[in-house]
Amino acid sequence: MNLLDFLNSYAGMYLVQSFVHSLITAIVVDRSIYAWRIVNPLIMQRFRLLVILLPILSFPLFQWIDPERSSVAFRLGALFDSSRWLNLELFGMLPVRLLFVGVLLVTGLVFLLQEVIPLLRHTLLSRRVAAPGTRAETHESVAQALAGLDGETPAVYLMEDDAFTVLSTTGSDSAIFLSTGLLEALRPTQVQAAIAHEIAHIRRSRRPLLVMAYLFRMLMFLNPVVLLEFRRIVQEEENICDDMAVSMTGNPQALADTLRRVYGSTEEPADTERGKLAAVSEALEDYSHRLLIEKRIERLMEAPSAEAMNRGRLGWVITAAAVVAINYYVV
Amino acid sequence: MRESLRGLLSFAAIVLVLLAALKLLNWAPTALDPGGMREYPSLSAATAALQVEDLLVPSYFPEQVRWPPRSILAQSKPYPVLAVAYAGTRRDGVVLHTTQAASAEFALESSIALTTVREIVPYDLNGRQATLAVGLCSDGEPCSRLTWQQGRYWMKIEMVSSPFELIRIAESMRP
Repeated sequence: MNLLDFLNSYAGMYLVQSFVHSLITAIVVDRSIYAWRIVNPLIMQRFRLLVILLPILSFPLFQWIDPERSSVAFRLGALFDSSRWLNLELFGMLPVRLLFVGVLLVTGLVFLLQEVIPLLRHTLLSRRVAAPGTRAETHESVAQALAGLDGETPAVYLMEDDAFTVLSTTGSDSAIFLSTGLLEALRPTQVQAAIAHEIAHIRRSRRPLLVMAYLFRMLMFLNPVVLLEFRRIVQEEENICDDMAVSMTGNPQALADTLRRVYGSTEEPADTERGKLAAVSEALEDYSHRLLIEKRIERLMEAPSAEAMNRGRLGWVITAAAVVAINYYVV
Repeated sequence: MRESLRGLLSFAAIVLVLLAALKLLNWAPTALDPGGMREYPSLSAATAALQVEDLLVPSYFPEQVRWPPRSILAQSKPYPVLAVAYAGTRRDGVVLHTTQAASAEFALESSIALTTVREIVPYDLNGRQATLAVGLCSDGEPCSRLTWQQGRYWMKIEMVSSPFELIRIAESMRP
């Protein structure tokens, strides 16, 4: 079977249409967030989830509604027919379909190198660590922090480390890990803000919609639009957990100070031992990370009105309906 | 309320821009490469535009088939295809549909489809092995279909009629 025949098969059409549908959904969703003036990260994330959830279902659903949808007659009347581009040869020698498949393969490689391998390494590493650290509840500021938080709280462990580290593990044995360096550097209200943020992550990780989105994202590992959108969803998750932490502590300033303290103290990377390109890449990554942190801090300080936080529920329904209707005529 | 209306108008503008962009992107490949599937006003226009000389056209038309064709779809890339639909003189709708494609994978669903197949028999068409299917269309009218391979092309003719006229049309098909 050659490439053209594959792209005309059910699997090939699924691959092509899920890519085009996700691209259209991403454009509509991105513009819709501005149009409906969405500021609530939870609603914003629901918009972005459309980019992952809709394209995986749209092709089989549309084909089930109308099996003739893949016919030439339907394609001729369609809003956009991807096969016109895939059959095109650039400069009379370079088929667009080859470029398309190349983009998918590169995306698959990025997924493997940046997500699958680090995930496997992390899983293996965490299994090897027998003792996660000492329980931190006896520490004065941790005890104070936990006492001020409502609801079920996970176990908190202390790691002997001077670096500023705070992280959590999810699942049945969820726990929060704090480094001794961080605990010494933060005030009790800041420790509480950090713990509240991690508790929010643990509580959010149990939501079936997010688990499903993650699984769908894994299935769409060849789709570059889904890869980028999933990263934006993960960034949005930080904002959601910030809001949850503030609702638990009632102190946005403490969380903003914690973020500044934890992430604003990254040391300059030394480039003497590494190659210059690696040093530049690291510096860029660090710069973009700092920008994201600055945005989070800004958002915490802005405190939008309750009316603004509720905006966009109707917009989500209209956006989802419009995306489905447009994508139906995109083959 | 005012906020929702403002959002709705902005969103409508976004959708309109997107629809226009999709239409433009759909048209662009035909401008860059005219060999893609499109509709032509006449058979001569299709053969001239596609620069394919061995397209087969029937020279015999029974009385119930109207000339010129109602629609002509053709492409030269990725492989040549010519699909012609003819309307009837005594009834509305397409009564004859011919498809010639240089790929066995090509499938163009015509408006004439045998929903009930009563008989499928091999048929000798000018020395070529063809397959004749006889049955009923979705509206209960007698319909027939003839398929065969001729050179690099896969041929298919479907007609709202008994197989006799269909065979005469097939036998008259020439470049």
